[in-house]
Amino acid sequence: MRLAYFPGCKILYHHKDFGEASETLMKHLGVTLVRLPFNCCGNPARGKNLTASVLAAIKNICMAQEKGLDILTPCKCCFGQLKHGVHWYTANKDIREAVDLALAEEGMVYKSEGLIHDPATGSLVKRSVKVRHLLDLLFHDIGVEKLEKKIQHPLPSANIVLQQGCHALRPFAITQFDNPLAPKIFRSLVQATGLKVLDWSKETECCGDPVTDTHKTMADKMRQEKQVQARRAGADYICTACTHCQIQYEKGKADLDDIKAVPFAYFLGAALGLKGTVFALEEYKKK
Amino acid sequence: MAVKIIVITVFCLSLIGLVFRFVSMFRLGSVFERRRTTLAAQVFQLNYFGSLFNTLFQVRLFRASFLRWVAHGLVFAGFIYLIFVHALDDWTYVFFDDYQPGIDPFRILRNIAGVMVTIGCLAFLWRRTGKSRINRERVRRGLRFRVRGTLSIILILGVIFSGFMAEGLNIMSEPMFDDMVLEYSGLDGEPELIHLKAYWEKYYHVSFEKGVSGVPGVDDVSEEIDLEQGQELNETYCLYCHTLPDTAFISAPLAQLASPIGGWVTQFRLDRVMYWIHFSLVMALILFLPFSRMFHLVSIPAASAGKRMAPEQMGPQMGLLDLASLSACTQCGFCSQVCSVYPDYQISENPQVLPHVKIESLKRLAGKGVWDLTTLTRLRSGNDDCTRCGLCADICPSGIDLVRLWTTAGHLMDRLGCPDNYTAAMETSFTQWADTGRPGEKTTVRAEVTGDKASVKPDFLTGLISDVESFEHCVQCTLCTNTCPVVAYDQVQNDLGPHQVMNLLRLGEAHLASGSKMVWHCLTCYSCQEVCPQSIRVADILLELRCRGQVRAAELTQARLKGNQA
Repeated sequence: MRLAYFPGCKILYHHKDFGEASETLMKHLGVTLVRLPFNCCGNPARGKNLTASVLAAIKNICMAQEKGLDILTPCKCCFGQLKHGVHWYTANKDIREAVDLALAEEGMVYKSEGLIHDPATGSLVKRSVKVRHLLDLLFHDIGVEKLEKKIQHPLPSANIVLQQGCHALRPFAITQFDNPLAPKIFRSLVQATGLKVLDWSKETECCGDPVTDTHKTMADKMRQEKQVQARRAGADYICTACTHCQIQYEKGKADLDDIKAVPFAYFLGAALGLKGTVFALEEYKKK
Repeated sequence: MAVKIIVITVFCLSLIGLVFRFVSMFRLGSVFERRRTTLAAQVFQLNYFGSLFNTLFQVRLFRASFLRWVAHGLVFAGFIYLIFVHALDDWTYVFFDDYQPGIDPFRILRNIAGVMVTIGCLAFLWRRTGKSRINRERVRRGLRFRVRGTLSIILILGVIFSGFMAEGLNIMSEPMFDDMVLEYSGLDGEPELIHLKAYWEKYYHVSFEKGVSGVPGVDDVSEEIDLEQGQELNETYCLYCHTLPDTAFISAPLAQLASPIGGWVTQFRLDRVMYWIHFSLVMALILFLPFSRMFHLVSIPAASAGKRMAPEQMGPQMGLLDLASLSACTQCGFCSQVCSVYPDYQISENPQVLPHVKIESLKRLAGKGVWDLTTLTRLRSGNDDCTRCGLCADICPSGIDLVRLWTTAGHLMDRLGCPDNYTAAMETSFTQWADTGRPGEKTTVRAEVTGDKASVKPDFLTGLISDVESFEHCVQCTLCTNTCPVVAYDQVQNDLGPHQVMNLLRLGEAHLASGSKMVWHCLTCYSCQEVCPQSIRVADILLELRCRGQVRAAELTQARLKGNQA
């Protein structure tokens, strides 16, 4: 399996561990990640200049297309935005023309079809570049059963609540990731590691990170409320699968008697027995 | 003696210039809340080894681009050699056995070093014609030629070329030959001198104005010219300091080329003139070092000694604008080449998105304060586009902590009364927001305000707001408002629910709606859009309203800044 690895801006500087964990995990599962000179996914520009955000997304897809690879990202915001980019590119003629012009400036052309290395079959298929999220790849291409077989050190059954992450779930019409009201992919993957997933009211609610720079009071309030609710539900950890969610929870290190947020890649890595400080199994054992 | 006095004066002036640069840097730094404790703490946490390594071997440049490292290395190594072995030979000769500028290997090495510097400098100039992002941006602004950075290169090329010329003219100079004969041999006025002259004319490319026939002071030279005797005399008196000049593979051909003007050289002492040109160019280079691009010789070691700040450290040091780092920028353009938000620049055509432009503007902002409202608003907009991915800081060959710089820049502009558009929108009441600039009014003026062409063109937006179909089916069921986390968590600042925004649109008040706190605080979680029973793209509409509002927010900021200035 070969995919182009799209870490996203936040991993590059704010959360390198998250990226390294995802890469180690993929390497262990036999997925080759190819690094390309990607730029921003375009998500931060959504509320400022839509065309720029579409150009950013399409440019990334063009780069992957030239190499004939699908894109894999561990960040749900990047995942959603890359899909949005394609949507607006196809839906709006003015945006498409402006984007094509800017692409041509750097000698690029967006094609809706090309020969792409298919991760599932390993052969070249004539289709468009697919944007994949880490969970999506684990669930659909590697499969829960295969993962369960590979898991050597099932984790002690700590109680986990999930933070789904908005931009992959909604709007379903564009992201096509999972059932937006009752998502199952994340849940079944976490269960495969031996952890116990609890139901809670905040599973599909926004983490609050998008306004962390502009409306800090609200962002903090959202995080605190979630920590309280998670504790009330009896959780030991909050599990995330998006860089932004993880960063948002880590900002609360000083808050309360704190409930720790852990990226799913860390849990899965620990269960697979990978080496590295983030995967240290002891860390996740219930006291 | 005169030379020494000049050299010492120039060095002193240059040193004063350097001190001035550093002092003014700290003076400027203190304009913005300076935290002495962190400054002191920094000095002890410096990465001295990394700085030394980067200064001597340019490791960061090597990682950024091998070719550029080679070009830079040619200039750097050539120059270091020339300074130590050639320029400072009065002091450094002690390190070598039998140092003489006129013998090998020193002569050939000098020529090789000169050629290295020339090739490197030509590569620098050639790079400025390429298709890199930094060049394309310049062309777009109509600046075909960068004077400031190029001046240093041309000065260096001048030094090298005048050096080659000085050596060439020295080789062929007849008066120089006469002086040397007078000083180092007993042949002056002896008939035998004719043989030496002949030998030197043939093998050392000296150009004698009247041929070799005469020896001054001797009336009758009847002897036949005997090169063998000339060779013997050469070995006795000259060879110790002068091997055959052909190893000066640039200067010797130059000497041969210049032989037709041999008379002028004798008459006007062009060899001395060229020497003084060479000397003054070197002095000029030293004198302008603190104020030209050459300043990076001093500032890069300083900048690359600083340790990069981790994201969680960003808090306490926000007030300190790192001016030492700012001045270490050489405008090499690597940052813009890797910049994650380059697409933002391509569409908005706001040059202040690009890191290398931002640095220049920040320097001016630090030096002059608010000097130009348009540039300041653009800088604000460009700096807010940055996602802090740190790619620029990773690649920066000078080792500038750029992420920290962008973060401080934001705080600095806050303090100067130029907040980001979110804050501007928050500080504006609905009446203020709606007061001027109703939709469609004076859009060209507004485009100038933000430097953002695209965001005022409705065509470039999703087109949801201009299309009544996209929101008119709203039945005001409030499902969106009930699911909205902003409505749930912020009961203090927030004004409208999403359904009320939809209603404003139906009333034709899109402009008013774009100033709503709801629009600016939207988390883009798409809950509203997912639950809407009428399939209205609520979140997309909110985002488009925000896109439109950006222009108005920037306009308000600028109006306030103007008010402050008046």
